[in-house]
Formats: sequence, structure tokens, C-alpha cells
Amino acid sequence: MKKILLFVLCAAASFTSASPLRAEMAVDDIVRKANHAAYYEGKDGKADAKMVITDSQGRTRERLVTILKLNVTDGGEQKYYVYFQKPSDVKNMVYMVWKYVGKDDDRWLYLPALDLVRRIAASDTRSSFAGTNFVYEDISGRDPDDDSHELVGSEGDFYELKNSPKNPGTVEFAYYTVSIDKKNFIPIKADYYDKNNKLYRTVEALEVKDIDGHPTITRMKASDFNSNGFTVTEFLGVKYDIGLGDDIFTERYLRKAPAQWIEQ
Amino acid sequence: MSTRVFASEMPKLHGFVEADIGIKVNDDKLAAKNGYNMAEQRAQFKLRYFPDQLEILKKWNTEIFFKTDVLIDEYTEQPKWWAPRELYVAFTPLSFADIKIGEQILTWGTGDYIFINDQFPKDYTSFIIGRDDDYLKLPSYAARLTLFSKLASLDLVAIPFFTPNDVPDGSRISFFDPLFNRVVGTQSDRYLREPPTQFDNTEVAARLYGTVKSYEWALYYNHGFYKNPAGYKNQQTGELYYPELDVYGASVQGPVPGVGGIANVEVGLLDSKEDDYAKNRLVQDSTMQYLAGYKRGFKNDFEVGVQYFLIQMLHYTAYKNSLLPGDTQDDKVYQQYTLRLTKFFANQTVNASLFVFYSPVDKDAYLRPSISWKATDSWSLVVGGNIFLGNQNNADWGQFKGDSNVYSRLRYSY
Repeated sequence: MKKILLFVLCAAASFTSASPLRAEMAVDDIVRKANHAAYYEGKDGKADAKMVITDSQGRTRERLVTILKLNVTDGGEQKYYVYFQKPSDVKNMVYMVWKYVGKDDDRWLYLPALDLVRRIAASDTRSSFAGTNFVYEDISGRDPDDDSHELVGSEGDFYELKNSPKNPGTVEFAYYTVSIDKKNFIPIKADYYDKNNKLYRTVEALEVKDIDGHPTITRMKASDFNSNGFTVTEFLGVKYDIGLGDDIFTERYLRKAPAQWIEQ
Repeated sequence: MSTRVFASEMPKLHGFVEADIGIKVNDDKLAAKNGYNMAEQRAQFKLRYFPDQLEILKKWNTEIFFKTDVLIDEYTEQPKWWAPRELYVAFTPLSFADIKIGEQILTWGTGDYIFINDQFPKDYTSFIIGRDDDYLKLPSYAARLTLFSKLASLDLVAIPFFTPNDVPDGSRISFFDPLFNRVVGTQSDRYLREPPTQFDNTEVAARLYGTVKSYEWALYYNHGFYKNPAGYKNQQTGELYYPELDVYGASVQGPVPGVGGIANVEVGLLDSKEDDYAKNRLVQDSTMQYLAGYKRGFKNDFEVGVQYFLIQMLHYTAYKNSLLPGDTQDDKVYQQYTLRLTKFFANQTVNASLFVFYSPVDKDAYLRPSISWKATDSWSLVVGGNIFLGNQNNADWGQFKGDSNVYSRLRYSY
């Protein structure tokens, strides 16, 4: 008698939990695919990134870097080599990152005037990248496991997600919403809300092109509504699967940029 | 067949022009000029050229780099029209070997303004008067070969022409002169004898290094001379020289598991070859040097770094026994702490930074506060200070109390 009751209860439980279980998997699936589309396309890649920063008074600054990227594991470890071309006071400096999931990245900065390879402490991934309105996580990706994800809409061409940080103390936002294109899983727009539920920041893809079969964001914009400044980044000369070796991402090429890939 | 003078692309000229001024805030009026210790205009030019007239030049990724400063130094009243900082040719003759020959800056080691295994020449005068950090290092005339492999890489450097550290000598920066047993300025009249240029005076530096997981390790070897005048040839005539020095060392640097941040440890044995185990009171004793450091970044672009540095004289008893009455006696163990605080503001256009050296042994301190503002991509302004504190006349940093200054540098980059 007890065994039958237990069986019936278990069966009932499995029927009622089936639907939310399926929906939860779908959200994680979407997040995983979007993370891949935004950051892990191809085996490796190269691009010139032209970043124009405009402040609240309309004054502009420009940064030009050449980025080499290697995807060591899909959705996991990556290596970045960022060679500064402009402005001239940072020219020939190189910033290198070995990105990990679940632990701090390894970061280095090469200062050519001193021939100095400096190891950088990686604790803050929400600080500005090169003085732009983009933060490190916008460039190299935020670990999907750092947030809990909720699918709040899926009519039309986009999945709408709401993401809340699992460790609110480590980030400056209370939550952010993302619109993900159903066709190619590219995150088109991310809106960041602070503790007062105010929209203070938006990162959006202005242009997406198909390059070598990979959907690629070629123009993106980060707007800061607190400071009224914004940065537009254009990715030029994007190439995938150019055969970058693991050895490019070592001290050797910090001190002497790889002539094959970097035009100095 | 026409000969091309330039490579397919014209090399681009980059550089900057800068005006600097440094005012003394605690003037001991001992140096050549009162009131200030820096007033200069500087123009830097740099050119990077990739010759490809011959197939082999292109195959070897040959690069020629030239960087020179024109300095109008109103303190010394001697303009320097030709002061190349770098002039070298770099190429890759084999897939696993890079070579760099010529005047170049060499830097390695894990310390922040603290050098144990980096025995390459430094300019402490520029450091003290408020010039850009770049000028702490002096170029060497060297040939550098680096061999690479997956497990480890090997740097081999030969330096045939000796370059000493630029140390305060009283003309610009007053300092503690043991020959006077007090802080002196222009009265100091030392003659610093450099080792003559000859084949067996070629200095050698080597570094074996690699990375395991996220941890960088290195072994170092230096064979050459002290870069500070660490020995007396003749105390009566005030003649000093640069005794022979071998340095053996090691370092490790990497993330601290659990806590985060980066820690580094570096050690070095400085073997003072001519000191005969401290029996020669005219030459510096061999020392063992230890460095431990930790740095981490916080939210809002704030970074903190701390270091602990210890120098231990190796033959203290023999050293003490060798001293004559009137000699200043050094401590057996010298300790120093450093602190670096950096914060960026306004989209990283403003950088406030403070670096402090403090010694509980000498009871002295050296503070380096500075604020830099990048007004545009071309214009930048730096305002800062070099403040020396302490009551001990012969303290490593405290001796420069009378040279404390505040400075300003305005730069236009192109």
C-alpha cells in the first residue's frame, strides 16, 4: 500500500515538473548559443578594432587596436593578443589575456619603452577597457554561470532574457536584459539596470555581417547614461581561422609583435 | 635594376615634445642651483623600419628601431642634441631564435622599482627629479639572443660596453658622501673610475624562464660589475670604482589561489668577487636579497601593490672587524616596504597614483605621489612630487631630504 502511494506521488511529481524543467533547459541553451555566437566563433580570428569615444560635450578620442584571438576550448578558455596602434602614446603596447572560466584570467601588459612585461592583477572585469565605455567583460565575455537567466519573452524575431548576478556585490548592475536574434543567436542589445531600477547603460550591436559563414558583429556601441558618453567600436578586416598558433600568445611576441599578423 | 631606398611603406615618425619643471620644497642649497632641480624641454623622435630590399631581410622579419631625445636642459645649461635611447636591429634567423643588436633597454625581474636580478643600468637622478618613469632605465649597448621552446626560453645578453647607473653626485642632487661623512652637494669631488672596455670586461646576463599553468618562473645569472660605485680605489683622493659582481637568482610570479591577486617572490645572491668575504673594507660585501610582493585590483579601477624587500650582508662579522674608526657601520639586515596605490577616474583619462618606499631600519621614507591627466589623445599633464623623509643622514632615501621636489610635465604626443 505504501509502495503504491509512493509510486503515484512520484509519477504525479514527474508530470508537474516536466514543463518548467524543459523551459529552464531552453534558457540555458539560448545563453550558451549566444555566448558562442558572440565570443567563440571559429577556431581563431583577427580584427582591427577602431574605437571612438565621445564624451558628454561631444569631444572625441580614438583608439585603434589589432586583436588576435584563439579559442582554446569552445565556451571555455581563450587567448587574446591586443596590439595598440593608436593613440601614439600607447603605440606598440600590447595587452595579453589568457581567459579562463571559473577562475581569474591571466593578464599582461607590455611597455615597449622599458621593454617591460608586467603581470596585471585581474580582479576587476567590470572596469573600462582602454578608457572606452566598454568593460573587459564586453570584450572577452561574461561567464554565463555568473548570472541566473530567465526567459521573459520569445515572440517575434528575438529571445528576451533577464539576467541577475549570483554575486550582486561583484558587479555594478542589479540586472540586465538581453535581446538575442533567433536567426543567429547574436545578442543584439543589452540594457543594464541599477539598484534603483534605472536604465544606466546599453550595449548594442549596430551592424551584423556574415563573414566566412560566421555571423559577426562589425559595429557595436556602448552608451553610459550617467556620464552621457558613448563609444562606437568598428571591427575592420575581420578574418577567421587564420591558423594562429598557441605560441603567439607568449612573452616572445609581446616583445616583438608577430610580423605575419601585426602591421606596425 | 633600381635600388629602393625605402621599404614598400614609408616608416612613420612618432614622438612627443615636452616641457618639465621641478621645484625644490626643502632646499638644502647644496646643489649647483637653488630653488629647482629640473627645468627642461625635451623632444623625442622614434622610427620603426622594416627593410625588405633583400629577400633574407624579409624572411628574417628584420626590424630597425631608432629612438632619440633632444634635451634642452636648463639646469645643466648643456643642450643634448643627440641622445639616442635606442638604436638596434632585431631579426629572427631561425624559427626558435630572436636576435637584437645595438643600443637597447633591457628589463626583467618581478619587482616594482626594486631590482635584484635586473642588473642593467638605471638613472636614479632622473627618478628623483621627476622625469617620466621610462627614464629610470638607461640603455645598454648589447647583443641579445633569445632561444624559445615550449618548456622554457633562454635569454643570453652580452654587453661589451659598460654603462654605470646615473647616481646623485652632488651637482644636481645632494647626497650622503662617506668621504665627508655628511650630506654634501657641489663640494663632493669624487672620481668614478669605470672598467676599461676590453674583451674580458664584457658583461653577460642570462635568464632561463617559462610558464607552468599560470605561474611564471625564472632563473637568472649576471656576470659583470656593480652599476653603483661600490668600491674605493683611493679614499684620500676620492677615487671610487665599480667592483666585479656576479648575481645568481630566481623568481616565481602568479595568482594566489582562493584569495585572488598576483604574488611574486624573487631572490638573488650578489657575489662581490673582489671583497674577499668582506675582508676588504673598501668594497661592498656580498649580499643575499629577497623580495616578496602582492598586488590586486579592486572595483572602480583601483589597484594596490605591496612589497617587502630584505638585504642581508653575508659576512657581517668579517665586515665589522675590517672597519676602521670613522667608518660608518651598515646594518647587517636592511629592510624596506613599498606600497603602490593607483586609481583611474573619468574613463581612465585621470590617473592618481602614490608609491611609497619605507624602511624600518633606516627609518626613512620616499613618497612619489602623482596625478596625470590626458586632456586629449595628444596632450597630457602630470603633476607630482618626490618627497624624502627621515633623520638619518646616510639613509638610502632619507639622504635626499634636501632634494625633495614637486614637479610638472606637459607633453604633446604625435
